[in-house]
Amino acid sequence: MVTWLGDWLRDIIAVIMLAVFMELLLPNKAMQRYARLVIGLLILLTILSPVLRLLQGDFSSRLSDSVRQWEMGSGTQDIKMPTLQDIQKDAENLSKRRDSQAAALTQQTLEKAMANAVSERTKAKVEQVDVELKWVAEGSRRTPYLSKVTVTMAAVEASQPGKGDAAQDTKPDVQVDEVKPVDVSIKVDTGSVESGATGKSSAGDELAEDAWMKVSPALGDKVRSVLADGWGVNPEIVLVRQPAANDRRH
Amino acid sequence: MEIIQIVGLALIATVLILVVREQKPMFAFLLAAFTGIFIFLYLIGKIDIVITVLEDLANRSGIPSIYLKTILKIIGIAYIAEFGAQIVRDAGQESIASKVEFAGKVLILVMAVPIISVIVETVIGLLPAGG
Repeated sequence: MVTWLGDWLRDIIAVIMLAVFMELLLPNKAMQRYARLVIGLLILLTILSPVLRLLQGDFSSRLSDSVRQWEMGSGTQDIKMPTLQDIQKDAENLSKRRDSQAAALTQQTLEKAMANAVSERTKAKVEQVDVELKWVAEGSRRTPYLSKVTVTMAAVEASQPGKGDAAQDTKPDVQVDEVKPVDVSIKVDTGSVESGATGKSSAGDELAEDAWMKVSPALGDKVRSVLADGWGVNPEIVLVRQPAANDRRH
Repeated sequence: MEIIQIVGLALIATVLILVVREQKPMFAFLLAAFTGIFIFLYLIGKIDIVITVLEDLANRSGIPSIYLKTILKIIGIAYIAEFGAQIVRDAGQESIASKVEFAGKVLILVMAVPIISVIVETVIGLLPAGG
């Protein structure tokens, strides 16, 4: 207890001696008031140090942390004119962001319009249309193009047991065959065309992952022709699918 | 005896300035500024001794080094601001000189910001949380 008190007193005396030295060293009276304020705060901090230590542990490390932070902050806030490169970089970022926003908007609008058109023209229920846009660079400008269109048809009613007739009611012009056995893949990814027969066996790709199965070729062709007519979409990049019979409706 | 050298230099410079000022006030100012800078730089090395004493004191008493750093920064800012302000004042630009002094005061107060923030945090921490 006595040693602790001694330490504390020694700290206070040392700080006050420092303060006296500093007042001696100060060049003129004008600065003295301001310097006195800072020194006064330091002395206050020293006198309060037992309380501070009691309340919040090691405050001196926090003080030096904040001083260092302050110095770093004041070091970096030099007045700096943005260079031409900075401005150009900013402009590039801005235009890139604007492009991607425009692309997102295009994507949404396209999806909505395609879904409407497909459901109108094929009389089949469309659950969702996903449009994937990719970018191609033309000189300095990047323009989007359609890289993939995924049309998700609503679940086919016919594949539910006992509802075979209902499916033909909903899609009388498309579903000529019985739907269920004809899980024909017309999934055409960019470039690779899978016929219906091989689609079943080799459809180990993302399409055949339980959740999805392919729609009948007639419906798929119709959807493709709708998209090709309306938007000039290459039929090879259109993927038409529907939820698989077993685990839809959860 | 450095003080004799310095006073001699100052006297010579003063006489020269008095002579030159009639013909070329510009050169008189340059001479004054140079003399001031020379004396300043000549003596700034001597402050080293005082600072060593202060550091020794701080180390022995175990006060945080951040205190000493702050105090030394205040002294440095005060000296440099004062010096610059006087040179500018010699050239007759009183208003710029007062701006330099103002800058020195502001920078000294800026030194206090981390200390004030720690104290304020503590005082706020002392208050009961519920009000």
